[in-house]
Amino acid sequence: MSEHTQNIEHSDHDEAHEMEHLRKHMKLYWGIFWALIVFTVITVLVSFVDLGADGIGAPDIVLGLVIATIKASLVAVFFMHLSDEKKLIYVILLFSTVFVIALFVLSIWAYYNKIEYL
Amino acid sequence: MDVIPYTVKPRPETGLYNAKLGIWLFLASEVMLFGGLFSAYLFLRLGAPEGTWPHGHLEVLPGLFNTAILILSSVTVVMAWLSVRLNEFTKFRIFLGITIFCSLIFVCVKSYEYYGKFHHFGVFLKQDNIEITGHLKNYDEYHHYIDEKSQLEAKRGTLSRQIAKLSNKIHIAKRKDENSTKASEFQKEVDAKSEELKKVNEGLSKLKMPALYLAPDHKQPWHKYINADAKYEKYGDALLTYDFEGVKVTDKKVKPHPTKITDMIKKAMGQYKTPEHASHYLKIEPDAIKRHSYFYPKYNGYFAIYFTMTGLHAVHVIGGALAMCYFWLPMPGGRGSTLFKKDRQHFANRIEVAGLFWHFVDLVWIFLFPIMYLF
Repeated sequence: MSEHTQNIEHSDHDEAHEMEHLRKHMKLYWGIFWALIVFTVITVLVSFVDLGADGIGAPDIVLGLVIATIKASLVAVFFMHLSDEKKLIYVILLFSTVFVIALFVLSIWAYYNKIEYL
Repeated sequence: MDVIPYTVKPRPETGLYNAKLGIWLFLASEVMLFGGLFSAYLFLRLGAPEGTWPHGHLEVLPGLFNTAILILSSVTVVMAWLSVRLNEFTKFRIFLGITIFCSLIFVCVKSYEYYGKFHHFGVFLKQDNIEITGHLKNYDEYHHYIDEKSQLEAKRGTLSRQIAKLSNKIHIAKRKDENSTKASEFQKEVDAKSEELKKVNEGLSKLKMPALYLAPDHKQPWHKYINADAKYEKYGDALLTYDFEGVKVTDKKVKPHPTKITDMIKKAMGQYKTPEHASHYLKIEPDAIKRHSYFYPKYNGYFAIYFTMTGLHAVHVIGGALAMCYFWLPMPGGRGSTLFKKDRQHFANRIEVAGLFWHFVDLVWIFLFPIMYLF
């Protein structure tokens, strides 16, 4: 490489080590890509199969959401580097996740607290 | 004044460089924003009477394509970041270029889908709330009616408000002086406005909604009603007349035309076969109709939340694309991609932060796709 790295204060040995490390990551990311595509196709196939009941807790919807959650986790853990992050970020995310769960609980609560009609 | 130092290196207090802490705080607030909307979706869906939540309004294929496009762009943006760290400028520009291109394709496909919905029409019949969907044939006539109606209604609203205001003024004037000249002037005005209002109301009652001619969709939930209650009869050049509680819905022959892209390609290649379902249209008398609309957000709760959520998501896609364009374009003074050569560590941080936002946009779509298109 012709452009010399002036701003990065690593010894040559450190740099070579890091480069190898990063190239390994590249392979991993493409692996995640294919996993995401496969999971997407599976979700579509699941939606075509009629697994019976509609409504809350219907097996195909639950399965679809479980797959979506797995996909989201793959993106968050690998692409967003949440597998290895500082504690502060987890604390922030935990905080907002608690609020989101509370919002969902409200909707589900409303579902089980219906107005009675005669 | 103290300012937050513009540092590239992680801060000792947090272990993070400031931009990263900033983007995560922002993403946490985004989680709550979208979380609220997902919760609204759940609320609407659980609140809908059993079996009435619409299915199959969206075509799966464009949604699946867009999902794949977003996943691809998510990988390429992380590759762009790695290329910066590996000091490979050309690769970086290629990968970020692909990401920007993907976002463009995504927005195009989404626009095509929106366009399709805005031209799709639905009618709910008075009888059993039967829903008939399709494409409106006599839209000129229909739009003329809608425009005239909304104009008259707006006029009626304005006049009613003016009359109410004047009546109040008369009341106040009369309280001061029983025989006030002002009050009688106001009264004259009120009389004139009332006369005008009367005319507007007459115009509204005279306005007749035209019968709607609808090229019905292939899958029709109302088909099951035909055998049960409706009577068939021969009717001039029409094929069939379905009699819904005395109100006629007539099925007429029309020249078919392909509406789907795949059909258009087939037609261009001379392989298009006229499908059975496209060869007629329905004439629906206004007396039979309970409500009617294009597939706008007002059409039903599903479209309301669909347009809200995918619209907000599309705004995020456009915003992310604009930010990445800034990082892609070479601009003087260390702005844009020239920062790559000026301060690579700093530039890597920028791309990482932009990437984190982009992954979040992908993450939202991962949930939107199944709940809007599939289940």
